[in-house]
Amino acid sequence: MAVVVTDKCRDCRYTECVTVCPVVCFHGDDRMLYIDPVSCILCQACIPVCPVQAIYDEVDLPPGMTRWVEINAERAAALPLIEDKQTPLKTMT
Amino acid sequence: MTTPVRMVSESTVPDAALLNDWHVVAFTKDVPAGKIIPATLLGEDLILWRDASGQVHAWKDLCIHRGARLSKGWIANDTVVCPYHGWRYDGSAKCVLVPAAPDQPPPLKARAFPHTAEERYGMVWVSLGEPKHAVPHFPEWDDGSFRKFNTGPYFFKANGFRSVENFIDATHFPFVHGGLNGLEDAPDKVEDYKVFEDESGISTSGIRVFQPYGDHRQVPVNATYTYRVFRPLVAYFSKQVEIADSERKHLGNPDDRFCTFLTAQPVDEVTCIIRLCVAINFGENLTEDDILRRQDKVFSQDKDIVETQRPERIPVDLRAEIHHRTDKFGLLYRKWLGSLGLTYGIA
Repeated sequence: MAVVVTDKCRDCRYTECVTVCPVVCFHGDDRMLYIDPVSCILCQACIPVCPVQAIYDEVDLPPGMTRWVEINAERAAALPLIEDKQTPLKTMT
Repeated sequence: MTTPVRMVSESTVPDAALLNDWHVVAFTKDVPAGKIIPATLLGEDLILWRDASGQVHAWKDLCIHRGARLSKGWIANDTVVCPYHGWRYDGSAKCVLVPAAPDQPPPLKARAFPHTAEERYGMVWVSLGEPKHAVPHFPEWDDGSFRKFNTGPYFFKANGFRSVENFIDATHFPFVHGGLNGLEDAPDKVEDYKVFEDESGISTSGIRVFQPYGDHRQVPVNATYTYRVFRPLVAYFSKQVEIADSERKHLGNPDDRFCTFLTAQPVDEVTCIIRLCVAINFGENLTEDDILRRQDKVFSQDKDIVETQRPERIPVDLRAEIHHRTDKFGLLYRKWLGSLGLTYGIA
C-alpha cells in the first residue's frame, strides 16, 4: 500500500503536506513532490491539507491514475528530501 | 551466568541488548545492610543484599543445592543463609559453610549466581549480562546548585517502553495532568520541534508549554522541555521554567530548571517499576515532601492511562497505531528501539 502525490501537484507544489508529515518522506523537484513509499507510514496526515487534493491513498486513486504509485516510488528515490515548506508555485484563491 | 536447569518461570528470552544493559532494580536506601531484598528483572528473580563493607550484590534468587529461593533466607556473619539447609554464601558468591558437614570445606561448585551491580544516583543498577555501555550520565548529578531527590517507586502494570514513551510525550499534559501540567479546556498547541539521534541516544530541541501549576511552587509557568533517552529504559528531561504570572515573575530566575532522570525496571514484558532522581535549582523553600507529593500525583495519573494501553507491548512497526507530527519524538523512540533489534516487550 502507498500514499501518492498525483499530477495535480505539478506547478502548484504548495508543500503544506511537508509541514504535517511525521516522518519526512516527501521528495521533490522544482515542479512537484513525490512520496517515498518505504519511509511513508501511511498516516494520511498529508491528504486533507493539500489545497488541490493531489494526494491519494492508493486504494482511493481514481481509475487511470494508478501509474502514480510507480512514479512516486521511482521519482522519490531519485530526488532530494523536502523537509521544509517551500514557496508555493501558484497563489491559492 | 546460566544455571544448569531451566526454570519454569523463564519462558521468554530477553534480547542480548537488554541483558547487556544496566537496569535500576532498587533505590540504594531500600537495600540496607543485614537484609535480603527480592527483585525481578527481565523475568529473572534476584536477591539484593549489602555486605558489611557496604558493597551491594545482585544474585539470582536460587540456591544451587536444592533450588530454594535465597530471598526466603537471611543474613548472618556477612553471608547469605539459604533457608532450606542453611548453606552460607559470602560476598564473593562462594559457599563458605554447609552446616551438615561443618568440618569440611564446601564443594567448590557450591556458588551463588552473581550479576554485575553498581550504585549511582541513589539507585542500584544491575546488568544480567556484560554491560556494553556505562550507566547513563545524569547531567545535573554533579552540579551542586541542584538539589536531588529520589522519588517512586511507581509500580506500573504496563510495558516499560510504553511507560518511557509516556514520559517523553509533551502532548498528554492537558488531559492526563489537567489543571497541573496543562489545561484541558485550553490545550497547548505544540510547535514543531527537532529530534536528534547520536551515539548517546535520542533527544529533542526545546518544547514549550504552559502549565497552570507547572511546578511545586504552585505558580503558573511557561515551561520548555528538552527530552533525552539515553538507553531504551532510561530517559530524562530538563524543564526550564519561567513564572507566567507577571506579578510573581520576579520570584523566578531565567536559569530555573527542574530535571528528571527516569528509569523503568522491566520486571517482565508487561510490568515495570519507575524510579526517578529529580534535580532542582530553585525553590529553596520547597521541602522533600512537596517534591514527592507532586511526583507521586503526576505518576499515579500516568500509571492510570499507561496501564490501559493495548497492545501491552509497544509496536515498533511505524505503520501500527497512528503517529502525528507532534509525536515526532515518540516515533523516533520506536524507530530507535526497532533499530536496536529488540523483540522483548515489543508487539
